Amino acid sequence: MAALHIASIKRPSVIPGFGLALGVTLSYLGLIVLIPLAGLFWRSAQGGPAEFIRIATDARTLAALRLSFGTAFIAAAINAVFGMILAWILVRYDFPGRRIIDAIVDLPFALPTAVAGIALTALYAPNGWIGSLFEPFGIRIAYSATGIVIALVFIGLPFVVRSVQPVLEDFDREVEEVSATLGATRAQTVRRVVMPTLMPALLTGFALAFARAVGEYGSVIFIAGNSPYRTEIAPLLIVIKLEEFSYSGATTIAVLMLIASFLILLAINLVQSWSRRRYGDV
Amino acid sequence: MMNAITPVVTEDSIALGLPIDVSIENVVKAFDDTPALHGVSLDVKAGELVALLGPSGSGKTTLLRILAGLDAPTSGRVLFDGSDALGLPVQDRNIGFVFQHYALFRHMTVFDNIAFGLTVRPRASRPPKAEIRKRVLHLLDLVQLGGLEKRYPAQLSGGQRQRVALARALAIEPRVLLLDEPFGALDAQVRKDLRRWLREIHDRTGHTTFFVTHDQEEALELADRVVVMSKGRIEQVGTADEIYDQPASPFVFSFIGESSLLPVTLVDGQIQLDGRPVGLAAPQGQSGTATLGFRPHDIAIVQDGGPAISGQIIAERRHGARRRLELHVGAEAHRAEIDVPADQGRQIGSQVAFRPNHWRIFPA
Repeated sequence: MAALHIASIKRPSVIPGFGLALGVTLSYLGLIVLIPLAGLFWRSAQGGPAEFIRIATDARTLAALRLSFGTAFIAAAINAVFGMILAWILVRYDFPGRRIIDAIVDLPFALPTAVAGIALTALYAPNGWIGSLFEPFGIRIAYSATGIVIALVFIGLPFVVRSVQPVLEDFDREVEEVSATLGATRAQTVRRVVMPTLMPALLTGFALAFARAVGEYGSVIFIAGNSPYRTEIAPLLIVIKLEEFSYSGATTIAVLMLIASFLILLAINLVQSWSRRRYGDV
Repeated sequence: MMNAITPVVTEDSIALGLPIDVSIENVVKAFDDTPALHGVSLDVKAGELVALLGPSGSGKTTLLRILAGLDAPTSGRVLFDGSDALGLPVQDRNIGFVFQHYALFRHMTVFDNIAFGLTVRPRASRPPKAEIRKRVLHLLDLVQLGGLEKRYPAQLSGGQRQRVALARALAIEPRVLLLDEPFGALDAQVRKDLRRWLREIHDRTGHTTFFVTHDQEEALELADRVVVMSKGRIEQVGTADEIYDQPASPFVFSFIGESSLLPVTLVDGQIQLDGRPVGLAAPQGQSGTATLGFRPHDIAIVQDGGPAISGQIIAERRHGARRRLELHVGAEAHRAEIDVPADQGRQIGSQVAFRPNHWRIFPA
């Protein structure tokens, strides 16, 4: 049956090695991704459905998940807007230092996240440079959800810039010019002509930044304050459960995160493939 | 792919704006100190179809972009019906521009592409939805793409895309239509069909139209007048007959049609090559060095030993119904080409003597 199935996918082609390539790909994916995830599911199911539901509906779990996904979403949205602007400036304008700024964009990738977390905490803590400016107004940045969002914006910045930049570089200037000759104002051209073309890349960047932010641990735990129900993110709760030797607790939260992330990324992917099918390449 | 295009005549012709006169006065354009246009002047009458013809780098596209408002000239004036056009931003100039590579909005359907220019108008001057729809469908019929309004550009052939681009430009009722190498990216056969079709569209809509091309055949066949450009200057403006039969310069002569040019001297009313008369009379009152131009097909072989141009055959090839000989002429081995009947093959390396039946002398 399996052999039959593979034979029906396989077609004579000038590119040889389909069977080998598929085999290697599947084994690799299995080894690196699927087997650990399957173990996770298996382990979380060990406590039985009642235990799973108890942990999954626990107020502390729900608060942590809500915080993780909420702050990740806000951070990805902020990154989408400012990453877009940054990419636009890097592509469309030539100014001294452009190359350097271009290189700085990648720094959050290179920096150990704990270092980023400590640096941001030092800045935004109530006695830090920036935190002390807000403290008199009763606005607390570090040790609050705001601080978490700032850390997540920091680590997610490169994703949107790097996915939008190449598309913007390839963007045909004539399309904008023709829009102007047809009477469109600059704002209309950007809104109706440029943005729709950048949308798939922007979505990719958003999805990557979001996925990264949901799983982020190192930078957040320093700035969050980590008080249960308020500023405790789901990855931290998993670590706490592990330290309490509650393996089923840890794996249950992990499975919930996994399912939610998978569904969100799947939805974004579907939107993208739909738009790609529609617009094709011209 | 496209079928052969047959004219569609519809009774209810839509209002497409009145054609206007266009005056270009001494337009200069310098890019980073290298001039792209050196003082170009041209008057075009309302409804004329004008080809800007020249090799790449001749400034023809720059001129077109200045007319559109996509580039600003360094100096000079452009008048639309006598009033200054350069002061108007591109949005308000009301011109239809068609690019070589279509520049369609690929995320929009054919319908939305064509309707774009109408839907971006301010609410006050925007036609109602039903009116836009009527006009777009009418334009789709005009460009013979009826029924394809729901397609996306990716689902169309090159020729169809270019017709959508033209319909989109016509939708805004432009005062002037500007086409930048509109058929440059298309197959030879599609080009020919679209050329004929564009002429028909122009005859029916009557826009003052400029189109840029480096294809002389396209220019001569399609345009009311051809503007031959070279190195940022207009070399000659004229009808196809004028350009072909009375070229104003060696450049025009060699650029339009096939030609050979030889350096000659004019002595005592005779044209001489390497100091020997070639049996052709010089134009009255001219002397000194000059360039002799003739067409390869318009010569006669001289076999009686009389004065003629003679050269050594260095190559021969079949050229349509005739046979083309490539010659080295004179002491300095200038290249020249002549045609002989296909059945008169000759030995490479042998000598041949000929005289042009018609020729032109361009004083140096």
